Amino acid sequence: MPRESTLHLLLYATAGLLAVFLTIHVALHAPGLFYDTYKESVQRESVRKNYENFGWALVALLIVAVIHGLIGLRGILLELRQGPRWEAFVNFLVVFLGAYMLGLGTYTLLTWLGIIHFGG
Amino acid sequence: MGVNGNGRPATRVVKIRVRRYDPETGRRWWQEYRVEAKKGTTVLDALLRIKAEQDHTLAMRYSCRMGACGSCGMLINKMPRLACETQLLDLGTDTVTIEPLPNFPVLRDLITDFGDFFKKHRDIMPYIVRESKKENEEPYREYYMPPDELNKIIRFSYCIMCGLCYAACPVVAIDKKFLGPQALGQAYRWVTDVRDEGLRLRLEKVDDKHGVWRCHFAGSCSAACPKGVDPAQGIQLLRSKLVALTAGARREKKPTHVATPTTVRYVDVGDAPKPTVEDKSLLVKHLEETAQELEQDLPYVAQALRDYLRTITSS
Amino acid sequence: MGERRKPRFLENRLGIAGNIIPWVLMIRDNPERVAFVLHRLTGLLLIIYLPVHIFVTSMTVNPQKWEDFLLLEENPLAQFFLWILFGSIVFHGLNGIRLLLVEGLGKGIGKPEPPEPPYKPTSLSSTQRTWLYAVFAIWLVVWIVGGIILFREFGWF
Repeated sequence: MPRESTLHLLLYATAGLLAVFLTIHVALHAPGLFYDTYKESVQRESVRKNYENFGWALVALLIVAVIHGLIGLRGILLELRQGPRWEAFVNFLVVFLGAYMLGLGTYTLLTWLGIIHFGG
Repeated sequence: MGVNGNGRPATRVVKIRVRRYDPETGRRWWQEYRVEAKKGTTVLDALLRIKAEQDHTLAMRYSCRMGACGSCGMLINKMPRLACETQLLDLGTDTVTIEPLPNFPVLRDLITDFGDFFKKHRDIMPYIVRESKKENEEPYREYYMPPDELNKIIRFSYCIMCGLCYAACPVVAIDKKFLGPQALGQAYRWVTDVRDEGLRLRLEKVDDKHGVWRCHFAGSCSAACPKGVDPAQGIQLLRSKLVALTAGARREKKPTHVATPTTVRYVDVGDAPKPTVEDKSLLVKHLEETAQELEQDLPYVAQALRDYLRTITSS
Repeated sequence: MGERRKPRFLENRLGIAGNIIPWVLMIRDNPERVAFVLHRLTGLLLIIYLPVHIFVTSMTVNPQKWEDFLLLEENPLAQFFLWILFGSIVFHGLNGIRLLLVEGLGKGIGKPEPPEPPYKPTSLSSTQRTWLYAVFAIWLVVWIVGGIILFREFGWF
């Protein structure tokens, strides 16, 4: 694990990026901006357009959100209980969750971009 | 209620509920007392009156009775306060609940154990640290500190270590290893001191899993502080300093200007005043008489007086 | 009376309640603590939602699965959760900007000046307090307006 100050610098940096990225991400679903209704914004056709237009930006958002969220979660869990075994468990949990989310998110994008084919 | 027509302060009977704890049986219970309160009666006055007149088993800790020692921190009406600086009638409730400070182990009734709290304070090295080993171990001169530099830290120096901030902090409530607002505020106080060179050493202690990063600026410490120390401000300034240092590729940044030991020119205050009893024989006579009087009842005192007599007559 | 037992000292930590319930202690003039609690709860909700969200979006690659999932959004509970989620993001973001300035840059908390009676803490009466009230105000407006737009589309009224 890196030093705590490095982690928290990352936390603040990703927070600043998220403030911009997440606003756009949420605004994409706001009725009247990009789509007429919320329901239209979650149709498969709209999702396809999003992945084709913003593909790698979405992965950047994913990475930034995962880093920010997991450092925050780790902080809360470290406050909840103390002790070397708990700390090891928390670090493992955070790394595991991060790998799961980044892996699954990248898989989804690559499938949409046609690099991986769904169903083999 | 205010003041009566005849100018005498109005009194009111206040019900006081004390959360008591007996360490031998482990029993914890609420006990009620009734105390007559008038303008100026503090919670500590009331507790002392209860102890003197109603229940001598009630245990609490106090010392100065004037908000200077920081011994009588208690949870009064769910708010951490100094019992000596809280007036019963100011609270405005008919029932006043008094509990020991939370987040500290309770020893008995209202007495809490400050061991961990003081240890965390010691952990951040609350003293001047110099780079030179010789200066640390054999300080030989004062360090010059300009008044404007003193103004930067004096707010944090007013800390009386009463533990109210520690009791109010929502993070201390769950994290027993968290350094807490008092220690972190003091860390900032020593880091900004111009005479100090221990920045790196202290940042190592503070840049920890349970150090400065566990603060989330709930601000309760500052809201509870009876001396206006404002630990929350100190912690945020300490943290932004650490963030800047980390962002700047960990440059070892020294304080802008570290004061060096300087010669202090003493003002000539003149000689010591002359003794008021010019004639030593008068004092000797008085002491001998007193010693004789006390010979029967207080032989030790008489002996001490004779010892003292010997020292002044021999010189 | 029996013989004296070894004294046991009472661990008197307030625990999780003291951490996330602002009124366990009655600390006056401290809206920052309310903001801290909300920031923590919304943060927890968002980090729990994030893996779920990533899992759900992975279902878009399968047309049938995605159609089945979209049926779930007809459920009023899911629609209500969407609104709670939106409010969480808005609050966490707005308050996060304030915290970035205060914690990361040390802005808005005043200068450490010598305290004078009645010993008002500078950090709680400086600019960040104004920012905090602005955060609460903007959050509530955006959340309620967003709710009206969202629920109108869902046909609640």
